[in-house]
Amino acid sequence: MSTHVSTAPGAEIANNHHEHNVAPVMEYVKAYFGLLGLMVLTILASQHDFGTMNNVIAMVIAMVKAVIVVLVFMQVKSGTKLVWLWAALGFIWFLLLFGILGDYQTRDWVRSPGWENPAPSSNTLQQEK
Amino acid sequence: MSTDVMPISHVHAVEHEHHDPNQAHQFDDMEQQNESYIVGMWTFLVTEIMFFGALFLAYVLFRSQHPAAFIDAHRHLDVGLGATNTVVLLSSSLFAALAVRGAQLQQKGTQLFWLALTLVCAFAFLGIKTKEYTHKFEEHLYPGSTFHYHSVGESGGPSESAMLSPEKSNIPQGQAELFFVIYFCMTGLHGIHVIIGIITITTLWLMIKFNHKNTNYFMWVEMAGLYWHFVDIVWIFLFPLFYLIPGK
Repeated sequence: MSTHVSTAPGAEIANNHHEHNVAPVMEYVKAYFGLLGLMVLTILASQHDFGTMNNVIAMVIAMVKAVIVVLVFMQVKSGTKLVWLWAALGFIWFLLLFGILGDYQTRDWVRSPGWENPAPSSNTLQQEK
Repeated sequence: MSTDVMPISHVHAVEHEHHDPNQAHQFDDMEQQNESYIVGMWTFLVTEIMFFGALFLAYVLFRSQHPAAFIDAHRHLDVGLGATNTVVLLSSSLFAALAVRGAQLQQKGTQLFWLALTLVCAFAFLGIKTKEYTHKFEEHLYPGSTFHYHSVGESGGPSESAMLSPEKSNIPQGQAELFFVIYFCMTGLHGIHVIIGIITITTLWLMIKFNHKNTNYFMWVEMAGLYWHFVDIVWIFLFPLFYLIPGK
């Protein structure tokens, strides 16, 4: 007992940290090879034309890779609830931002006088005026 | 015995005032301090997501308006170099994670070793990116008054023979230029982040090496690691969006 008391405080901190928060090396290595595998998968998938599913497949694989990085490499997996909330917020903000695309998609739905679906090179603002 | 030795994160400052020299006075305990640092870093990363998010949005808009031009223009990018850079960045992320682990265990040598390897990968990434950019500049594929687009044909990447006898392209110059505008904007901004990462990690490496004040606190490496992983995530999306566009 007394020998343990005399150990350096730094070592004690490190040991305790090891028990509670430090992930095993194999966890990182597995995630790494998983990421490499998914990279090969996304390249192979891109060599076939799946039509409208092309982008869905590529983005689903990229999302899975991002989630692996966030959970394992960034250790959100063992993070507190507040850290989970913040990581989720990043994703939610990103989705909200893409809500802007809804504007472009729905412009044809309601016809506005003087506004036509613009040719790619035309200036939308000028047409609206 | 196990009840005597409490984990540092559970030791309250009320009971042991200034137990850990790394604890700032405004925090109740190390647990609270650590969480604050990580949440603070994540807050910054959320702003970064917004920053890149706007460019991703522009990309989606441009590509949906000019799908044929994007399919044709992306053939000028070298999938081999893009994939190599993906492997390089994924490896650097693994090394950064191992450096953070070393920091958590307060192993100075381990931290220095993995941080150095992370730096090597970061420089390799920039080197490959420079090679790619140089090639684009030689082909006049950078946006500007000298921009000149030519198709490389459907099969294979941009080979030398294809450059010498460019196929007649029915892709409008402006639409192809738009692809390279968003390509240079997004990969350029990402490259700037890689450079900032290099500066940060180099500074951190020197501070740890020369035992700068408080570098025994793992959080500095942890935060640099979070930033570096974010840079990796951005590339995870950039790679398929620019290099791998299927279709004819």
